[in-house]
Amino acid sequence: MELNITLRVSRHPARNGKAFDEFQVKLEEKMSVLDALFRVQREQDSSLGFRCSCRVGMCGTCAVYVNRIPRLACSTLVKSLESDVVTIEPLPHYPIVKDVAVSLEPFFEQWRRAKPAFRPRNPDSAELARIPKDSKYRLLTPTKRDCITCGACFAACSIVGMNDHYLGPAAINKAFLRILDPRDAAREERVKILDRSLDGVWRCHTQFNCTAACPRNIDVTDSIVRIKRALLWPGRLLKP
Amino acid sequence: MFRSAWEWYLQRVTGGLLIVLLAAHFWVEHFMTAQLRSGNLTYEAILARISNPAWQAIDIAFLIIALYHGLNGLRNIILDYGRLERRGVAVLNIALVLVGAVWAWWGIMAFSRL
Repeated sequence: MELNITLRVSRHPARNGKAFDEFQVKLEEKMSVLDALFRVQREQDSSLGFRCSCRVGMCGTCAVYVNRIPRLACSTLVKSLESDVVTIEPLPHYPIVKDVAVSLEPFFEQWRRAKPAFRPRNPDSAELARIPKDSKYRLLTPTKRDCITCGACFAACSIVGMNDHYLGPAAINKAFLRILDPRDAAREERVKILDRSLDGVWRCHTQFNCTAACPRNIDVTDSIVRIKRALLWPGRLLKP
Repeated sequence: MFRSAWEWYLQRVTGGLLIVLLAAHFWVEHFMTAQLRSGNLTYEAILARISNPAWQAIDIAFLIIALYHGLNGLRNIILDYGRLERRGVAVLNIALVLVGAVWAWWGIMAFSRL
C-alpha cells in the first residue's frame, strides 16, 4: 500500500502570503527528512532552499527544525517521526538565508569568542602529543569531542533565544575541552571568559535542551555544569 | 573561587536558608505564640518577642538573606535577557547594591524605635 506524508515546509520569503507550503511525498522505507526535501525539490518545486553536504550525519550542515525539534535532516528517518505531517522550519535563533537554510554566523561568532583554537604550552616543540588512554583527560572527554558544529544546541537553548551575548552550549563545550587539555596554555584566559556574568556559564539554567538536541549525543549540559563546579572549587574539573 | 561563582553559590545558599527561615517565620507569626492560640494576643506580647536580641538577630539575618536573594535574582533575570552591555551591568550592580543597603538600613533601624 502506498503511503503519502504531508511535508509542511517553511518558506522565506513568504510565497503568495503563505509562510508554509505543503507537499505530498510518497513515503519510502528508509526515507530521511533530507530525502523528502530532495524529492520535493526535484519533482515539485525546484526553488526550495535547504542546506546539506555529507548526507551521513558527519558535517552538521543540514540541521533543521523538524516538528519543532532541531535535528539533522539526513539522519532523521521520516518513519521515526511517527506523524503523517512533517513540519520543517529553519533553526531558531539564526538569520534565515532562504526557506529552511540559515546562516550559522551567530553560532560561530560565539564559538570564536570562546577561543576554540588549541594553544600549546610549547609551540616550538616537535614532539608528538601523547594522551594515555587511561588518563583522566582521555576518560572524561571521548564523546565530548564529537561536536560537528551543526548548531542544533544553539537553536535549542532558550537562553540563546533571549540573550545575544550568551556563549551558547557548543562554544562552552569546546572551551571545556581546551581547559581540560593538559597541553593547553590558555586556560586562565578561557576561564575568565566562561566566568563572566553577562555571557558566561552562569547564564545557563541547566534545562538540558542542548543535550536533548545534540545529534551526536554529547552531554553538553554536563560540560557546563562541570565548568560551574570547577569555578566554584578549582581543582574539581576532572572529577567524574 | 571566581566572583560570578560566588554570586551563583550565595544565591543557592540563601535560597536554601529562605526555605527554613520562611517556614519558621510563618510558624512563629501564626501558630507559636501561646496567646495567639488562646485567642488573646496583645501588642505587648509581640513587642516582648521582637525586643529580644536573639529574635532581632534572626530577623536581621532574614532581612539580609531575603534582600540578597531577591535583588540578585532580579539581576539574574535582567542579565538573562542580555539587553545590557558591560557598562550597563556595572550601573545595575551599583544600583542594586544601593537599593539593598538602603533597604537593609531601613529595616534594621525599625528595631531602634521599639
